[in-house]
Amino acid sequence: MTYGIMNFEFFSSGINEILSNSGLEFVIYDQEHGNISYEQLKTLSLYKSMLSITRVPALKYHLIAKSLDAGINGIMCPKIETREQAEKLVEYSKYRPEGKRGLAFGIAHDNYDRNVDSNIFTSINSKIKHLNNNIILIPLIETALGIQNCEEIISVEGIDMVWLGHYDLTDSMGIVGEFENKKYWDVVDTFINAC
Amino acid sequence: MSYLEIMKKKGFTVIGLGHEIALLQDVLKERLLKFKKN
Repeated sequence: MTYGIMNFEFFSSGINEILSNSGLEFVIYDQEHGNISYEQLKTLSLYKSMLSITRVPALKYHLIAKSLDAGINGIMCPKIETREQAEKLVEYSKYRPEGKRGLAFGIAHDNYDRNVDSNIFTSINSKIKHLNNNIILIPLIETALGIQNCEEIISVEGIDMVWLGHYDLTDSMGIVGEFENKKYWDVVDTFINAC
Repeated sequence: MSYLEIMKKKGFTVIGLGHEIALLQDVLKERLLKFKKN
């Protein structure tokens, strides 16, 4: 079992150590509702005590690639409802051949390492493969349509896990905040079975 | 049983405890209430 936390408000440079010392293993910074800047994302990504993920505001290339270039370990993307959207998430996040992310090396995400023939990487292709393999992609399933297509979304190559967005899900079902409603738990069971 | 406990029992393998603002407020409220009672 893995436990983590979302971070909406407190972006001090010590926050990852504080959360890690509490026993948490990952943190998800919130760019959808929170106000973290790219500069803060870059700073916090330097602290490797926790897995750093960011929730981008929307499925847009410039939001996803920019966060990854800042050094974040993973992307959570809101309101993924279809296989095509999940495929876009992979396309925007990964380099070729898995995706079409633009290449930029020797910057924050690779610790400013300009060498492609170092001890770690024998070629640019091995570096790209390593970077592609070390990005976590999380579609946020938070609508009735997303639940309906959940199995297809999960089956997309490059998607690592799915996350249930409970509040928006109940909203899309017309039962906002009714977490004891049988309709809600039936949908949760559909989600679990798809996984 | 709390919402998170139900989710754990249902088989969720990765759990987010919520956001840090709510958790901080919960802890501070609990501490303050405990202090006021004593």
